[in-house]
Amino acid sequence: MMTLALCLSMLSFQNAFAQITVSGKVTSEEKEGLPGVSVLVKGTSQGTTTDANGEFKLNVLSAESVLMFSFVGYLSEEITVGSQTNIDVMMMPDLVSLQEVVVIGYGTQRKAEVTTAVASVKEKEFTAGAMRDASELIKGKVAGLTITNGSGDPSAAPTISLRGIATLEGSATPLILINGVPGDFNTVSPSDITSIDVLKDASASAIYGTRGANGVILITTRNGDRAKAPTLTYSHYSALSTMARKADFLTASDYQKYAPEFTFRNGFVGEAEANGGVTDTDWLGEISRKAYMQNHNISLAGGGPASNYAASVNYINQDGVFQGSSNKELRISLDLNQYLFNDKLKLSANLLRGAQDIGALGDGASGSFNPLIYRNALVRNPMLGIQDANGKWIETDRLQYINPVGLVNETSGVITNNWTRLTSNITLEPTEGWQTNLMLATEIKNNYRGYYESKKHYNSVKGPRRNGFASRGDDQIKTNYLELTSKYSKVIDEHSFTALLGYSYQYNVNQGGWANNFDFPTDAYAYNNLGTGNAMRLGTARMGSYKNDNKLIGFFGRLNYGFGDRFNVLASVRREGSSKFGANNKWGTFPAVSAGWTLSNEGFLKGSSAVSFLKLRAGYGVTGVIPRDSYQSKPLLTYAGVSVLDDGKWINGLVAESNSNPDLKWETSREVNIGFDFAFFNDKVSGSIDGYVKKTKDLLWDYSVPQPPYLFGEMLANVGQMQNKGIEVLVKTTPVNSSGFEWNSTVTFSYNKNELTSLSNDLYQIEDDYISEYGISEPISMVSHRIEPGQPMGNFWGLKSVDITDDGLWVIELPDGTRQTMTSNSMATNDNSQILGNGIPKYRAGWINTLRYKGFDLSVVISGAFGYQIMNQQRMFYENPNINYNVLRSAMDNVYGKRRLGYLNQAFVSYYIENGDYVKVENATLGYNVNVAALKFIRSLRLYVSGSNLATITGYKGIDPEIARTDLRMQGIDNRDKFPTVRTYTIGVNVNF
Amino acid sequence: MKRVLSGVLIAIGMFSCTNLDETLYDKISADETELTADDLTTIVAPAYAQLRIVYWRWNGLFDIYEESSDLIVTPFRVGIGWGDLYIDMHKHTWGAAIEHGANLWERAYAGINMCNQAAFQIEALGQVENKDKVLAELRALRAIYYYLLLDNFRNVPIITKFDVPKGFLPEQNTGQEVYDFIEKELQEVLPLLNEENSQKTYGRVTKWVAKMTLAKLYLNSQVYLGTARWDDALAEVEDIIASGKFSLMSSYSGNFLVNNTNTPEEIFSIPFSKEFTADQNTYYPFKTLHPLSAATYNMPEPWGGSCGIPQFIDTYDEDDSRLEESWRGGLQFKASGEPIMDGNKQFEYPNYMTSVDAAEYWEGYRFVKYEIPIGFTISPDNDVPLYRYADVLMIKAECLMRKGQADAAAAIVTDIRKRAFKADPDKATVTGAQLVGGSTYAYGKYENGAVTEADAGTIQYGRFLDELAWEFVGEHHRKQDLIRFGVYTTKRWLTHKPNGDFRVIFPIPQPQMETNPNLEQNPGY
Repeated sequence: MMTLALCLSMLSFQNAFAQITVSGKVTSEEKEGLPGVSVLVKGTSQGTTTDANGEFKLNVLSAESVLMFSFVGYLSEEITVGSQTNIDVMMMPDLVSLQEVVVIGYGTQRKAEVTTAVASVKEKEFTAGAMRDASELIKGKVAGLTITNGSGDPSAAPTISLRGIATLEGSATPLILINGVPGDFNTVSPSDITSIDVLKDASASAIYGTRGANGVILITTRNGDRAKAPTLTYSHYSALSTMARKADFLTASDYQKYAPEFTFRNGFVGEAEANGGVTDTDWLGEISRKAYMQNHNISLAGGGPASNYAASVNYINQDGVFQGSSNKELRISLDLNQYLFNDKLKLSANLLRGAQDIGALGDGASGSFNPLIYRNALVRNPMLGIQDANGKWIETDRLQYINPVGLVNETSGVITNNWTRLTSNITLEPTEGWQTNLMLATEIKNNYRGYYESKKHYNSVKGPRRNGFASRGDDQIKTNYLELTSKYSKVIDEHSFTALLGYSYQYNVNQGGWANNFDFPTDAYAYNNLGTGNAMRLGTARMGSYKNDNKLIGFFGRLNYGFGDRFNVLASVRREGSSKFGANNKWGTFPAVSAGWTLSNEGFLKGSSAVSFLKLRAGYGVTGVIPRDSYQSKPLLTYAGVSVLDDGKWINGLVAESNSNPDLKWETSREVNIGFDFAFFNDKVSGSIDGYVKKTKDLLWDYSVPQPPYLFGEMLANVGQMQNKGIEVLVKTTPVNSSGFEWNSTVTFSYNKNELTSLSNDLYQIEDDYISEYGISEPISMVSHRIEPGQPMGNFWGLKSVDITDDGLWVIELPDGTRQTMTSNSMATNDNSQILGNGIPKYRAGWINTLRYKGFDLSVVISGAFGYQIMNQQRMFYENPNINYNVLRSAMDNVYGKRRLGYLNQAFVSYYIENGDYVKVENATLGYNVNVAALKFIRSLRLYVSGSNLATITGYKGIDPEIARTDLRMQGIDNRDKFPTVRTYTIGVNVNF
Repeated sequence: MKRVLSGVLIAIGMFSCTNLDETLYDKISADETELTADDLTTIVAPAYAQLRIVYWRWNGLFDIYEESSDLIVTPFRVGIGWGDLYIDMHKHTWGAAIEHGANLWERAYAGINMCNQAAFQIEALGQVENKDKVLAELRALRAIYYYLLLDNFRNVPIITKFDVPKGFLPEQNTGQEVYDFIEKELQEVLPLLNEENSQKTYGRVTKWVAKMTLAKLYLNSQVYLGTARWDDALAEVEDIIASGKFSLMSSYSGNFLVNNTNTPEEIFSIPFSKEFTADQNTYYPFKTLHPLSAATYNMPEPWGGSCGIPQFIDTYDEDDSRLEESWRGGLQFKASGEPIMDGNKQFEYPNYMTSVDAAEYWEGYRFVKYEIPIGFTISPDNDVPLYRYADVLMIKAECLMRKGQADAAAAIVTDIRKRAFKADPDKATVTGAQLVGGSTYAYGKYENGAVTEADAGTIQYGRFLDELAWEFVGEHHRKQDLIRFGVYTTKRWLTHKPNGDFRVIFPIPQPQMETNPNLEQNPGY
């Protein structure tokens, strides 16, 4: 208490004598005023920021006071006031940003000290424009990080993977932490984010144990600055989206054109004549539209002498390109920090609240738009009308063939998502260098769904004739976090140490329920009065509910040691336990060690003008993977579906639910990473190169097991080994920087080679050592992939077509080189099949260019993937002119330049495997910073126009070679019913007050 | 500061630091579920419930026996769909990946595993009344599953224990071994099985069910082992007949009504209930009927493609009531009796087909032997009579015929035919000479409504084979009967032509071949 009183009295004393007024201007290299630069009197909380012209004015205590100038992307400057009252400062851009702080999990490091493969993307490098979520900010900017959207669905999440596929169980998505708490890319508004750091190798991510196996992405959001005038920022953008490329199906006039020379087996003309006459309907046009989107964001940040705060509100209102799909989102964040006892104690509270309404045209939590509608718009008879004379939707008797316009109009639904996260931190720093932090957080995510099919819906009037169908459902995911960490740092001469100890506890509980009913008295209730349907009374309505939980507990420690700016070592270990494993396998240990040698600080390189920075890094780490679902190690029993008649009464039977595996344990990965960071020619060229080898063993997955002895054909088990090797390159250059013109160019490149090294262990063997995967739905139902040791994942497996007979049948080249005509799909036996390509890109690249001239800036993000094939299922299903549905225009082309396909069945042959290589202009943004010197209340004003998914250079015939990659075992399938990706044009404004 | 620190410690104390126990909410675990003698039926239940899945789940037992035969087909419907693997079943062009084979293997072995698991659980119960009888019943049920596997795959692994060591992979057994196992198991448990036939034993394996399984095993011995055992088959069915517990129903269709529980003709049935087994609904009305037939039954719209093969429908005597009792053909009417209109003409199912690769939606008679009630929704109530008394009698007749007593056989067949020819009882009569004569089925290549190329040669006991079809169409008989009478791999029907003698058994399913290195593929595949 004494200290505090003393401090307070000193503070008032100082204030009383603060007499010297200093003013000046902060400029960039180009001598332009830099607004928003923080100017702080060192050792105090006193400070200001520069105005729109880069000018500042400040009172200081004495001539000994030191002014600190700092600005994102520039090297900080410290200047002793001395006798000067006018201090002009030119700030130099920090190209390599060696002083830049990198978030490494449970703390930060200066970039110069980093010994692991960490990529850091700061706010100024983010892509601008209509950003669906945080992933789009960094797409193409982190070598080895793959972000795939592959869909124009406004509520669809991207698929993310780092350094290829290292696991088969569930998801390859890295752990995403928002200010230390797990979340996803959609948790916070992109405009609240100040940096995204990616822990790529195991020596960095092993501190997160099991959750770190796919890498870790650390998202840091905006904080207020202490003793800084409040800043108010408003940003807005409006965007217009259209389908980037449409599937090209035959139109009504095409059918007239081909009628004289080709007999379609789909009977479309007859169908149209029998149902209101031949007309011309653009089904896809009828269910799609240009989609408008608007986004507003207001944020406020500031702070007092012992506190700071940041708050923001973000609102999105977005239509999908399909009628009926929409997304409305409101996100609020509030961050408060209070410093007490001369900064020895810090209390923080952070609130995140999000609310989202998604227009839903499908039953269940799957998303905003029903693929059934899209598929029917593609395959429906273009000569068929939409409605008959009485306004009824025209329906006919084809299988799985429903009027898509009717579906859109007679379906209503909404999915409401709410998420609330409360985080509090108590940070205690009793003496300098020793910091203890307790984090307590809780997050609740709710999902409420309602869905209704009216009495005019297909399922009411035809099909199941349900006469109005409604369903409701809800899910809740609740997670509590506790994390206690204590950190001690000490510098003794040239030796610096930081030691960290921590405990982490995570408890997750999931629950929910659903019910449906049908045969309603009126459409008026929609899904809001479920009890009025008759199906419940007749026993044909259904309901269900579920609840499960899981726990994850970890103890961890980390030691950093640095010697004279030349050598750095980092070692960590985590001991972690998961409730999801068998009793004897709950705990695992995940060590890591890495070291860095900064050669450029050695005598032989010091002062070299060519090499301004060079560091060699090497690391090794162990990470783990836990199963997706709880209770997998338990011998679960169920009563479901096993009723039997016993002496005239129906009774429930009790039966095993799955093959239980009491030996379930961690899947572990061991990764070696060697890399170097460099900067040449006064930082004109900088970057890093990393090479890695990652070996995964005890692969967790749903292993195919024989029946007998197993009860079911699949079992979650630890079998198999996989290896990923790769190289990642990041190069940043500034080719031009003169007379107001600046050009920055960044290239990322990654190469990954995946190999499954084993599919067996002592307990599980496979005859011939391979597994067939069936990735092609009815009516083809053929093997699509083979998983085989010695081969990479994602190998397509099937018949190699090389020619077509005079009858239009496929000619297949067998593995022995002989040729055989295909007369039935059953020809696709293992003996006749071979590897037809691989669906995983070997190379990925990104190229980001930023040009600045005076107030203008232009950035272009280009990305590409190379060295892989795609199974074009849209062609496989719809490029056969003999099927029952509408077909692609290309179905009328000659196959192998000879004749149209005469084979009656749809089939998988290599003709539908295509090279997927592409280069894509992901985003181009042109911005202009308006000179606001005349406006006192505005500090900066930026206007921009932006376009996303602007152009794709590819030989691929499908809609988009950038495909969703959800199923790890069947990579490279471009789904038949995939939503088209969209092209988006945006105009936006950012204002700082 | 001390207060803060102690607050931190309390916060940690609230969580138990390293406790990783799991709490089950919507599931139960065998570890924590104590079974008692009261749970006996609950324990045995799954092994029986599995029969429903084996029989009626998609591409199940029904389709295996009918669609690979000369009775029923699911052709490619022009402008509609189907085709695909259904055509492979018709043309006998299936490979090891065919879903029908994989399904039967997995589902039957699930049944076997459930029998083994139930036995394991019962053994663990300690002192239970009638324990030996329940265990005997489970062994008999398990033998029935093995009989289905023997009939379709022949060389399958025998597994009799639930608690096998980790990583245990069963060895494949020969057809002879599987046959001997089934025979030994059934004979051993016979004395312990219930001899009653009552509501209490309905849907359960009794002594008569075991004997019927033995009879079928012996009846097909020639096919399975190359050794005929007509006398043994005859002895088993004679026992069933002598028990006096079963009799023919007065009407044929009575066996397949919605309420067909506890009829005197049923020996072993798989019970279904529209309330209690609704999640494993029998889809068949939907799979066979045209959407316009919805008006006949006031049911949701069907989407069917399966129908009778015209050559078979042609074999029926026009006065045989089983034609109408089994098939829906000709002009169609609504439930109210009004005609169903298709455009401006009355909707009709003609006994005609273009070909298996190009059938129109309306072509072919539809199989409606299981009664479809007016107002049918999704789940039929009709039980499946797996073994019924007419089958017992027909086995007896066949054995007698094959032993040279054709006239005695004809008397039995005539008795069975009587309920099908109530209007003209004289037509029920069949003679021994007729029975051993040729078939009325016009085997050969069929196209556009006519047999364009007839197969040469008569079929021995062909008429008896016809009788089996008329009586047991849609009752998991035909594939076995065609094989036993030497027709399955030698004759043409519709678009089917013989495609190798090895096709009398299915290939070992591909998923099994890939996961159990001990399995060897069946010859020919």
